[in-house]
Amino acid sequence: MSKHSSVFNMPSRGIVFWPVGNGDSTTFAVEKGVTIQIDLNNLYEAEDEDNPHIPVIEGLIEQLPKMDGKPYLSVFVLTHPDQDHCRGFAELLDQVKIGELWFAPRVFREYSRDLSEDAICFKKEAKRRVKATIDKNGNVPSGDRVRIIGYDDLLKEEEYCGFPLSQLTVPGNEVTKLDGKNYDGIFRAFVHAPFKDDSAGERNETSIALQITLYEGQTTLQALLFGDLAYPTLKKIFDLSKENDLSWNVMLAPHHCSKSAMYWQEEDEEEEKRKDDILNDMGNAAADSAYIISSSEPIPDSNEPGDNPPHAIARNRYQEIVSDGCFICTEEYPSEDNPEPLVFELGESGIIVPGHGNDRSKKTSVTAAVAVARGGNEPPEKRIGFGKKYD
Amino acid sequence: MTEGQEIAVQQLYDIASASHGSMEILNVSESEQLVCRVKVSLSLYCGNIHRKPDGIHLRERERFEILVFSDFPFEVPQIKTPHTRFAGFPHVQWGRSLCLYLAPNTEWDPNDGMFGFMTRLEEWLELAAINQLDPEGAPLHPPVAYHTGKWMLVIRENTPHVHDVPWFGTAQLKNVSDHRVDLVGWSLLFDENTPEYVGAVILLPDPLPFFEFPSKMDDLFTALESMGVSKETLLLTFQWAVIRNKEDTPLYVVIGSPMRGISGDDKVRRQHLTIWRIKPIIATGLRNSIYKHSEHEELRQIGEEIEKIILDWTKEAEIDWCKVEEQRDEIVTRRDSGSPVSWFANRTVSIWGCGALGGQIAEFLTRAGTKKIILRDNKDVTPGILVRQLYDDEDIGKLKVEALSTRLKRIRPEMEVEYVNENILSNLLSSKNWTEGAEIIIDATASRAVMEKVERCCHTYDPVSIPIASLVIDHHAQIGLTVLSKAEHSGGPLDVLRSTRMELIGRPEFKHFIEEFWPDTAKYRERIFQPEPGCSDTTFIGSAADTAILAGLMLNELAYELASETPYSGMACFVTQAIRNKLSKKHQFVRFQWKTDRIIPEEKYGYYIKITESAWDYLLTWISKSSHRNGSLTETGGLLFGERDYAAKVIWITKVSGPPLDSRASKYGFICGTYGTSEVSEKLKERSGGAIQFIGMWHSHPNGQPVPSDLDFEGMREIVKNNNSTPYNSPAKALLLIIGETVSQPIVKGYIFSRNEFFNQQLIHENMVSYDMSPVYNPIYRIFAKNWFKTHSFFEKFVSRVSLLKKNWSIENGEKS
Repeated sequence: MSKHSSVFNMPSRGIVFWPVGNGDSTTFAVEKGVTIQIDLNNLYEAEDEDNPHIPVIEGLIEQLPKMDGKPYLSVFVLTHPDQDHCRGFAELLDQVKIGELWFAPRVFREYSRDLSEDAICFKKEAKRRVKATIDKNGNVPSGDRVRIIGYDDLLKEEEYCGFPLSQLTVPGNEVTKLDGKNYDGIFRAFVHAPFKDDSAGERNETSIALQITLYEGQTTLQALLFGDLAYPTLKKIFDLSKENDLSWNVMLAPHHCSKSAMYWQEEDEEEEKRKDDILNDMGNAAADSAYIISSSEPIPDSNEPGDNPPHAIARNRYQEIVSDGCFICTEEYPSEDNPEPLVFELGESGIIVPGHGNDRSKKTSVTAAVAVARGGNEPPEKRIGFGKKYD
Repeated sequence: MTEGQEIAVQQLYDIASASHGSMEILNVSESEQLVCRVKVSLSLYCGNIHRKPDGIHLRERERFEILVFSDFPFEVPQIKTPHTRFAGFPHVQWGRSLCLYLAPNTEWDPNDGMFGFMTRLEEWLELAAINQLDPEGAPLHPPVAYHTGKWMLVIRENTPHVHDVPWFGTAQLKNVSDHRVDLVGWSLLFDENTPEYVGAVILLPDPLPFFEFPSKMDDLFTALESMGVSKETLLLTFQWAVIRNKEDTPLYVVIGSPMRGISGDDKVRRQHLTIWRIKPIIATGLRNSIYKHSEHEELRQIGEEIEKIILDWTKEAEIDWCKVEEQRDEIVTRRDSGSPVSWFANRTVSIWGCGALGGQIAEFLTRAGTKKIILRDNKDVTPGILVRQLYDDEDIGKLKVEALSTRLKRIRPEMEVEYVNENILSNLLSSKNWTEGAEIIIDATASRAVMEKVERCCHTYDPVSIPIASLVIDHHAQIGLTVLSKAEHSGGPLDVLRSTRMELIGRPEFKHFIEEFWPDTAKYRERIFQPEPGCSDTTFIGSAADTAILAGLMLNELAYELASETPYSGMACFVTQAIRNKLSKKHQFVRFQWKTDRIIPEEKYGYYIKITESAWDYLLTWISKSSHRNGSLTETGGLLFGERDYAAKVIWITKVSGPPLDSRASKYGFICGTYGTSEVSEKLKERSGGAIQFIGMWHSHPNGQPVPSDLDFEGMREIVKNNNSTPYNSPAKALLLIIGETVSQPIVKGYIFSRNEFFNQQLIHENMVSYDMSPVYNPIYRIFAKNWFKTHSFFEKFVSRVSLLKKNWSIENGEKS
């Protein structure tokens, strides 16, 4: 048994955000035996007892059902092949039977830097499955299935020629099939991105963006997952999509709570500026009970220029959107010293949400800050020397 | 940015940098249109604020926009939210503006600048989050209607009670000026007694669903419709009101809903009234639209068309909200509530003398809510008095009472003012109805004659049932003396004034008061001040500020005494302007109180004989002493000292002596000696400035009625007899007090013997009536007496004896009954 996973049980229907530092590892339980993993950041140092991260593969295996004696994962979705989104994929593939892979081929093509070993492993496995699918005209068993997120013109390319349309999802459409089985009425994934004309964009901008809806009768649990998208693409998503495809109970803060989601420097501008429009869009799409999750290390009070995510100002903006206590950082929940998987469960009685995570008592009150800023009126504590020469 | 704005922004940055991220400054921008303000957007961590479900819903962080004006820190910054989520909560206006300060004038500390402001913001949020922004008993910030400020309505009458359904009717209006109308009454819809000139009224039984009134008429109609008020009923109410009004008058529409909190009760919600003004032309339209009910086909068509036009107009029309000023007593707590002068509210007060003190006091009382003021004075306004009296230049030449009445009416038109330009002495005080239905008389004439005559009136006519106060100030307007005799007191202000003097005599610390208010003639002459020598009354020297401050202090003292429940019926109080006089702090404000004296009415001349309790005790002491020493049946007696006031017909017995050493006493008589008496008399006279003089004799009839014997007559004859052969000047009148039945229950009787009667007329004494006296022991008088008689060593010795004597009497009385 791994060190932390024992404290929770995978919900029969719900979402789990794993405390994996700055990286994404999100698990969707669709129903008993049907599990989706979106991105993976399995930190090997996490196996240390004192390390606050959870080794996600170990934890996941404990919760996964067994099929043919091997843990079974219905679908693995890779939003984009950055190391912090696929770290440990090779091990996962080795230890777990993955029914279906979802990926966007263009991401690999537009990727200019070196791929990590895990990314290469993923690419290889995806290619294998694409080939098998084309060869068998889509009639592949679980373990060989693949779903391509992309546009029709892809199929004109040699590599994908003959890929069955049933396994291709063009952004702007929904998916209800998982590993060959339709879960309409229980599960729906709406694909927001990548956009067609984002070919020139950076890899982050070609991330897969999803709205995933789980149903339980009339109640829904909706999550927005934007990978590492930044402001321009996010804005585009909100501008173009229908209201129903944007509503959310849980939103994974893009790019591990990066300020690039709402601070952006336009071409004609000298400096990056806060974009209240995207914040308003996010706020307007939020359900009554809405949570924003930062899958990241604890967020500092403030950052130095050039700091990588998470960014305090991004957290501050998100805290202005959701109700008190509804912005949760995975590495701060329930405490920085002892993070646990963050679980949203959709049951018959509605959504069961996590309790307050972040420790709020430590926060400085305005009154305390004012007292410091105003300054005291006590004489010096220490002896003070004056004069021409002071030894 | 001004220097102040820079400081404000810097202070905010200082707080932010000390806040560990709790406060984040997002933007600092200067408004392009309004150069005078700087907008600072900031984000505040609110996660550590305790909250309750009914409180304001704070997110973990909240954004605010602070507007800093150019005159910061002297001008209070404003704060807004970029959203309208807080709209509807108390102290949130325009949906976005937070009212951090209820009273910025006192609560805003410019020196603390943004530091205090941000602390205040956090306090505000803390209270809002637990829904305590309106703590119990504090008034509610009612919904706001943004008026143009052009028209104002003052609400003077409490609203009718609204039950479960809306109340439709009219409000009686009164035009006060071109821009102000007063609302003075309410009538139900279709009430036949609806007066002329009214506004239409809709009072709702439930709160309106917003905290700001809509500016568009259509929005308001929709809101009212959701409250069960149909457009048709509204129009009907308007039409009913319009036909009561004259042509070309605007129509005022009053909308009320129970959203007004009142101070001191957190549950009660009174009607909050908003009023809009419909232009005369539309009012005329409403009037003409009534034709739609006409039987005449063409008229009906016209009426219907007009109504349609009006309904169309309401869709676009903006509402012209009026400024509403509340004077309903169900809502407004008077600003002087709980202050001493509130005793005068709703009372009728008679003010004599409309000068420097009387005028001030009349105005103070008018503002205090007095029901009716009766003004009495017989002088005109002259230019010189404008220096310190409340008259205007244009009043010169007018009657003071008339000018003052006009002034008071301007302050409170609804107050009744009656004025009489007459000499108080010759007219009012010669009438039986001299109190004129007033509940208190304030004599500010500074006239000794008036005071004397009041004293006479108090005794001559039916018992006075109202308090009478007299106010005087010293010659430099530094000290004010208020004397008050309550209804049950044994005399009027003159009597209290004398008691005051007695209190001060012989006490060096009060010498100053004696010199000012009871000066000897020489001193008085020195001080005479005639502003226009030769032809004006003498008066004091002092400014408007001097008289205003003294009048205020004196009135407060008076009101305080009237409002307090004390066993005392007479009060005198000195108040002093503390600035210039040399009195020690302890003696700047001095108050004395007295209970009533014993009164021995004298039937023949109509005198009131008053004996102080101490003198009475002393007298009984002597009787006791004599009984102890010479047997209970032996007569005793002595001398009476005090003052006789012929004008007021009062005799005050202040001091009593026992039998002089050379007296003789037996069962059959008492011969009063003379040893030492003239010395004692002289001493008392000197010490009291003439206020205590020999006034007569007393003696006892231990076993008999208090009726003068032949011997007594003979004695009194001797006293008043003018013996031209010696330098001794005998009194022309003398008092004889006989205490009869001293063995059982003493009965006292007073007789005045006059030289005229002995020597010019027959003395008639058939109708003399006796009065029973039940002794009451009073420690106050014992102390009083102690001061007076401390020079006499025997006093202490006999106090215990007096107590014993009284005890015996009361036992005997008990047995008898």
